[in-house]
Amino acid sequence: MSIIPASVPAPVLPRRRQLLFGTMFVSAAVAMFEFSLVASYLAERAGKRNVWLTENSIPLTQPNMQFAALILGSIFVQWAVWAIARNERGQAYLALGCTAVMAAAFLNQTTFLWQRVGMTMAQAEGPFFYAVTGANFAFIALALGFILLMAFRALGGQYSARLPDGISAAALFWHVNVALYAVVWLAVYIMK
Amino acid sequence: MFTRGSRLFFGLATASLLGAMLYGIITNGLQSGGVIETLTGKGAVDAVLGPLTLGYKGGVGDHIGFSLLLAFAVCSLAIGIGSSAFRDGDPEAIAELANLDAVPPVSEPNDLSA
Repeated sequence: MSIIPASVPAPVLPRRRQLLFGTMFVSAAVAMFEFSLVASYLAERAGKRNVWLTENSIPLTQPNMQFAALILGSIFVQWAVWAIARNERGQAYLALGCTAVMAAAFLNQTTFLWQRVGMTMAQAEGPFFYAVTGANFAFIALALGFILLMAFRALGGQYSARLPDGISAAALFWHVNVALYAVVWLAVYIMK
Repeated sequence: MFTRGSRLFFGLATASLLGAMLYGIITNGLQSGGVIETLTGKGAVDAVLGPLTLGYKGGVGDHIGFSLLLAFAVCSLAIGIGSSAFRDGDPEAIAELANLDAVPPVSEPNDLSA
Protein backbone atom coordinates (compact mmCIF):
# COMPACT_ATOMS: atom_id res chain seq x y z
CA MET A 1 0.00 0.00 0.00
CA SER A 2 1.47 3.31 -1.06
CA ILE A 3 1.27 6.37 1.15
CA ILE A 4 0.60 9.76 -0.37
CA PRO A 5 3.19 12.24 0.95
CA ALA A 6 1.87 15.18 2.95
CA SER A 7 3.66 17.71 0.77
CA VAL A 8 3.38 17.19 -2.95
CA PRO A 9 6.36 18.55 -4.91
CA ALA A 10 5.72 21.39 -7.30
CA PRO A 11 4.93 20.27 -10.82
CA VAL A 12 7.66 20.33 -13.40
CA LEU A 13 7.24 23.30 -15.67
CA PRO A 14 7.96 23.07 -19.36
CA ARG A 15 10.84 25.20 -20.58
CA ARG A 16 9.60 28.68 -21.33
CA ARG A 17 10.80 31.63 -23.33
CA GLN A 18 13.79 29.92 -24.93
CA LEU A 19 12.01 29.92 -28.28
CA LEU A 20 10.99 33.55 -27.79
CA PHE A 21 14.54 34.60 -26.92
CA GLY A 22 15.93 32.59 -29.83
CA THR A 23 13.43 34.16 -32.21
CA MET A 24 14.32 37.60 -30.85
CA PHE A 25 17.99 37.12 -31.72
CA VAL A 26 17.21 35.58 -35.13
CA SER A 27 14.89 38.52 -35.84
CA ALA A 28 17.70 40.93 -34.97
CA ALA A 29 20.02 39.09 -37.38
CA VAL A 30 17.36 39.20 -40.11
CA ALA A 31 16.87 42.91 -39.45
CA MET A 32 20.60 43.62 -39.68
CA PHE A 33 20.77 41.71 -42.98
CA GLU A 34 17.79 43.56 -44.42
CA PHE A 35 19.06 46.93 -43.19
CA SER A 36 22.46 46.32 -44.80
CA LEU A 37 20.77 45.55 -48.12
CA VAL A 38 18.67 48.71 -47.88
CA ALA A 39 21.80 50.70 -47.01
CA SER A 40 23.59 49.32 -50.11
CA TYR A 41 20.53 50.20 -52.20
CA LEU A 42 20.44 53.77 -50.87
CA ALA A 43 24.20 54.25 -51.33
CA GLU A 44 24.04 52.98 -54.91
CA ARG A 45 21.01 55.13 -55.69
CA ALA A 46 22.70 58.24 -54.29
CA GLY A 47 25.68 57.62 -56.60
CA LYS A 48 23.60 56.98 -59.74
CA ARG A 49 20.77 59.48 -59.43
CA ASN A 50 20.84 60.30 -63.16
CA VAL A 51 20.12 56.73 -64.34
CA TRP A 52 18.14 55.39 -61.38
CA LEU A 53 14.66 54.17 -62.41
CA THR A 54 14.70 56.12 -65.68
CA GLU A 55 13.66 53.07 -67.75
CA ASN A 56 11.13 51.57 -65.32
CA SER A 57 8.38 52.89 -63.13
CA ILE A 58 7.31 51.32 -59.86
CA PRO A 59 3.53 51.57 -59.30
CA LEU A 60 2.38 52.31 -55.77
CA THR A 61 -0.81 50.22 -55.75
CA GLN A 62 0.90 46.88 -55.14
CA PRO A 63 3.35 48.10 -52.45
CA ASN A 64 0.50 49.79 -50.59
CA MET A 65 -1.70 46.71 -50.80
CA GLN A 66 1.22 44.55 -49.66
CA PHE A 67 1.66 46.80 -46.65
CA ALA A 68 -2.06 46.60 -45.89
CA ALA A 69 -1.96 42.79 -46.12
CA LEU A 70 0.98 42.64 -43.72
CA ILE A 71 -0.69 44.98 -41.20
CA LEU A 72 -3.83 42.86 -41.33
CA GLY A 73 -1.60 39.83 -40.80
CA SER A 74 -0.14 41.49 -37.70
CA ILE A 75 -3.64 41.96 -36.29
CA PHE A 76 -4.57 38.34 -37.07
CA VAL A 77 -1.39 36.86 -35.59
CA GLN A 78 -1.87 38.92 -32.41
CA TRP A 79 -5.42 37.55 -32.26
CA ALA A 80 -3.88 34.05 -32.39
CA VAL A 81 -1.57 34.89 -29.48
CA TRP A 82 -4.52 36.21 -27.48
CA ALA A 83 -6.63 33.15 -28.29
CA ILE A 84 -4.02 30.48 -27.48
CA ALA A 85 -3.28 32.20 -24.13
CA ARG A 86 -6.96 31.68 -23.25
CA ASN A 87 -7.24 28.15 -24.66
CA GLU A 88 -9.60 29.39 -27.38
CA ARG A 89 -8.18 26.87 -29.82
CA GLY A 90 -10.79 27.37 -32.53
CA GLN A 91 -10.12 31.09 -32.65
CA ALA A 92 -6.37 30.48 -32.63
CA TYR A 93 -6.55 28.20 -35.68
CA LEU A 94 -8.80 30.66 -37.50
CA ALA A 95 -6.45 33.55 -36.72
CA LEU A 96 -3.37 31.62 -37.82
CA GLY A 97 -5.16 30.63 -41.04
CA CYS A 98 -6.06 34.26 -41.75
CA THR A 99 -2.43 35.29 -41.16
CA ALA A 100 -1.26 32.61 -43.59
CA VAL A 101 -3.69 33.93 -46.21
CA MET A 102 -2.31 37.47 -45.75
CA ALA A 103 1.25 36.14 -46.15
CA ALA A 104 0.26 34.31 -49.33
CA ALA A 105 -1.39 37.50 -50.63
CA PHE A 106 1.81 39.42 -49.96
CA LEU A 107 3.94 36.86 -51.81
CA ASN A 108 1.52 36.84 -54.75
CA GLN A 109 1.52 40.63 -54.96
CA THR A 110 5.32 40.76 -54.84
CA THR A 111 5.70 38.47 -57.87
CA PHE A 112 3.00 40.48 -59.66
CA LEU A 113 4.87 43.71 -58.89
CA TRP A 114 8.13 42.28 -60.22
CA GLN A 115 6.36 41.44 -63.49
CA ARG A 116 4.81 44.91 -63.70
CA VAL A 117 8.12 46.70 -63.07
CA GLY A 118 9.96 44.49 -65.57
CA MET A 119 13.41 45.40 -64.34
CA THR A 120 16.37 43.35 -65.62
CA MET A 121 19.52 42.38 -63.77
CA ALA A 122 21.61 44.10 -66.46
CA GLN A 123 20.33 47.51 -65.34
CA ALA A 124 22.22 49.47 -62.68
CA GLU A 125 19.36 49.27 -60.18
CA GLY A 126 18.34 45.66 -60.98
CA PRO A 127 20.57 43.66 -58.59
CA PHE A 128 19.91 46.06 -55.70
CA PHE A 129 16.17 46.21 -56.27
CA TYR A 130 15.83 42.44 -56.41
CA ALA A 131 18.22 41.92 -53.48
CA VAL A 132 16.15 44.16 -51.20
CA THR A 133 12.67 43.08 -52.31
CA GLY A 134 13.73 39.45 -52.80
CA ALA A 135 15.15 39.22 -49.28
CA ASN A 136 11.91 40.65 -47.91
CA PHE A 137 9.97 38.12 -49.99
CA ALA A 138 12.12 35.28 -48.61
CA PHE A 139 11.69 36.38 -44.99
CA ILE A 140 7.92 36.68 -45.30
CA ALA A 141 7.92 33.19 -46.84
CA LEU A 142 9.96 32.03 -43.82
CA ALA A 143 7.50 33.71 -41.46
CA LEU A 144 4.67 31.91 -43.27
CA GLY A 145 6.48 28.61 -42.81
CA PHE A 146 7.04 29.38 -39.13
CA ILE A 147 3.34 30.18 -38.64
CA LEU A 148 2.23 27.01 -40.43
CA LEU A 149 4.64 24.89 -38.38
CA MET A 150 3.43 26.42 -35.11
CA ALA A 151 -0.20 26.01 -36.19
CA PHE A 152 0.48 22.34 -36.92
CA ARG A 153 2.12 21.87 -33.51
CA ALA A 154 -0.75 23.70 -31.82
CA LEU A 155 -3.12 21.37 -33.65
CA GLY A 156 -1.15 18.48 -32.14
CA GLY A 157 -1.76 19.93 -28.68
CA GLN A 158 1.79 21.15 -27.98
CA TYR A 159 0.73 24.75 -27.42
CA SER A 160 -1.94 25.95 -25.04
CA ALA A 161 -2.44 28.55 -22.31
CA ARG A 162 0.17 26.65 -20.26
CA LEU A 163 2.81 26.92 -22.99
CA PRO A 164 1.95 29.49 -25.67
CA ASP A 165 5.57 30.29 -26.59
CA GLY A 166 5.55 28.88 -30.12
CA ILE A 167 2.67 31.04 -31.29
CA SER A 168 4.18 34.11 -29.58
CA ALA A 169 7.54 33.45 -31.26
CA ALA A 170 5.94 33.13 -34.70
CA ALA A 171 4.04 36.37 -34.03
CA LEU A 172 7.24 38.15 -32.99
CA PHE A 173 8.99 37.05 -36.21
CA TRP A 174 5.99 38.21 -38.23
CA HIS A 175 5.89 41.65 -36.56
CA VAL A 176 9.62 42.19 -37.13
CA ASN A 177 9.22 41.36 -40.82
CA VAL A 178 6.29 43.75 -41.12
CA ALA A 179 8.45 46.49 -39.59
CA LEU A 180 11.23 45.63 -42.04
CA TYR A 181 8.80 45.85 -44.94
CA ALA A 182 7.85 49.33 -43.71
CA VAL A 183 11.51 50.34 -44.14
CA VAL A 184 11.65 48.78 -47.64
CA TRP A 185 8.33 50.39 -48.55
CA LEU A 186 9.63 53.81 -47.58
CA ALA A 187 13.16 53.48 -48.98
CA VAL A 188 12.42 51.66 -52.24
CA TYR A 189 8.82 52.35 -53.20
CA ILE A 190 8.06 55.80 -51.76
CA MET A 191 11.41 57.66 -51.83
CA LYS A 192 12.15 56.63 -55.40
CA MET B 1 13.23 48.22 -13.53
CA PHE B 2 15.91 47.31 -16.06
CA THR B 3 17.17 43.74 -15.76
CA ARG B 4 20.89 42.99 -15.74
CA GLY B 5 20.90 41.37 -19.18
CA SER B 6 18.95 44.15 -20.83
CA ARG B 7 21.40 46.81 -19.65
CA LEU B 8 24.08 45.40 -21.95
CA PHE B 9 21.81 45.81 -24.97
CA PHE B 10 20.65 49.28 -23.95
CA GLY B 11 24.33 50.25 -23.59
CA LEU B 12 25.12 48.84 -27.02
CA ALA B 13 22.15 50.72 -28.48
CA THR B 14 23.27 54.02 -26.97
CA ALA B 15 26.88 53.56 -28.07
CA SER B 16 25.98 52.64 -31.64
CA LEU B 17 23.43 55.47 -31.88
CA LEU B 18 26.05 58.00 -30.81
CA GLY B 19 28.52 56.29 -33.15
CA ALA B 20 26.08 56.62 -36.05
CA MET B 21 25.57 60.33 -35.38
CA LEU B 22 29.31 60.97 -35.16
CA TYR B 23 29.99 58.84 -38.24
CA GLY B 24 27.31 60.71 -40.18
CA ILE B 25 28.68 64.13 -39.21
CA ILE B 26 32.31 63.19 -39.91
CA THR B 27 31.78 61.41 -43.25
CA ASN B 28 29.39 64.15 -44.38
CA GLY B 29 32.06 66.73 -43.52
CA LEU B 30 34.73 64.76 -45.38
CA GLN B 31 32.54 64.63 -48.48
CA SER B 32 31.86 68.38 -48.27
CA GLY B 33 35.47 69.59 -48.11
CA GLY B 34 36.56 68.95 -44.54
CA VAL B 35 34.92 68.31 -41.17
CA ILE B 36 36.12 71.47 -39.41
CA GLU B 37 35.35 73.63 -42.45
CA THR B 38 31.80 72.22 -42.65
CA LEU B 39 31.10 72.54 -38.93
CA THR B 40 32.36 76.11 -38.77
CA GLY B 41 30.89 77.24 -42.08
CA LYS B 42 27.40 77.85 -43.45
CA GLY B 43 26.54 74.16 -43.68
CA ALA B 44 27.00 73.52 -39.95
CA VAL B 45 23.30 73.25 -39.16
CA ASP B 46 22.61 70.86 -42.05
CA ALA B 47 25.69 68.79 -41.17
CA VAL B 48 24.29 68.17 -37.68
CA LEU B 49 20.61 68.01 -38.67
CA GLY B 50 21.31 65.43 -41.41
CA PRO B 51 22.28 62.53 -39.11
CA LEU B 52 19.76 63.63 -36.45
CA THR B 53 16.86 63.51 -38.94
CA LEU B 54 18.21 60.35 -40.64
CA GLY B 55 19.01 62.25 -43.82
CA TYR B 56 15.68 64.05 -44.17
CA LYS B 57 17.26 67.47 -43.64
CA GLY B 58 20.91 67.41 -44.68
CA GLY B 59 23.34 64.66 -45.62
CA VAL B 60 24.46 61.64 -43.63
CA GLY B 61 27.77 61.07 -45.37
CA ASP B 62 28.50 57.41 -46.01
CA HIS B 63 25.08 55.77 -46.31
CA ILE B 64 26.18 52.19 -45.64
CA GLY B 65 28.16 52.83 -42.46
CA PHE B 66 25.54 55.21 -41.07
CA SER B 67 22.68 52.80 -41.83
CA LEU B 68 24.48 49.82 -40.33
CA LEU B 69 25.32 51.64 -37.11
CA LEU B 70 21.76 52.89 -36.85
CA ALA B 71 20.37 49.41 -37.60
CA PHE B 72 22.59 47.95 -34.89
CA ALA B 73 21.25 50.54 -32.44
CA VAL B 74 17.63 49.69 -33.35
CA CYS B 75 18.24 45.92 -33.05
CA SER B 76 20.06 46.30 -29.72
CA LEU B 77 17.26 48.48 -28.39
CA ALA B 78 14.65 45.92 -29.48
CA ILE B 79 16.56 43.04 -27.86
CA GLY B 80 17.02 45.14 -24.70
CA ILE B 81 13.29 45.84 -24.50
CA GLY B 82 12.49 42.16 -25.13
CA SER B 83 15.00 41.01 -22.55
CA SER B 84 13.61 43.45 -20.01
CA ALA B 85 10.00 42.48 -20.78
CA PHE B 86 10.75 38.79 -20.20
CA ARG B 87 12.86 39.58 -17.11
CA ASP B 88 15.93 37.88 -18.69
CA GLY B 89 14.04 34.56 -18.64
CA ASP B 90 14.15 34.66 -14.83
CA PRO B 91 12.72 31.41 -13.37
CA GLU B 92 11.22 33.29 -10.40
CA ALA B 93 9.14 35.40 -12.78
CA ILE B 94 7.97 32.14 -14.43
CA ALA B 95 7.00 30.71 -11.02
CA GLU B 96 5.05 33.89 -10.34
CA LEU B 97 3.21 33.45 -13.63
CA ALA B 98 2.37 29.86 -12.65
CA ASN B 99 1.05 31.03 -9.23
CA LEU B 100 3.65 28.98 -7.32
CA ASP B 101 5.63 30.07 -4.25
CA ALA B 102 8.82 28.18 -5.03
CA VAL B 103 10.66 27.90 -8.30
CA PRO B 104 9.77 24.47 -9.67
CA PRO B 105 12.27 22.35 -11.57
CA VAL B 106 12.25 22.78 -15.30
CA SER B 107 11.93 19.80 -17.60
CA GLU B 108 15.13 18.96 -19.43
CA PRO B 109 15.20 19.20 -23.20
CA ASN B 110 14.83 15.77 -24.74
CA ASP B 111 14.95 16.66 -28.41
CA LEU B 112 15.82 19.53 -30.69
CA SER B 113 12.31 20.94 -30.88
CA ALA B 114 11.03 20.39 -27.33
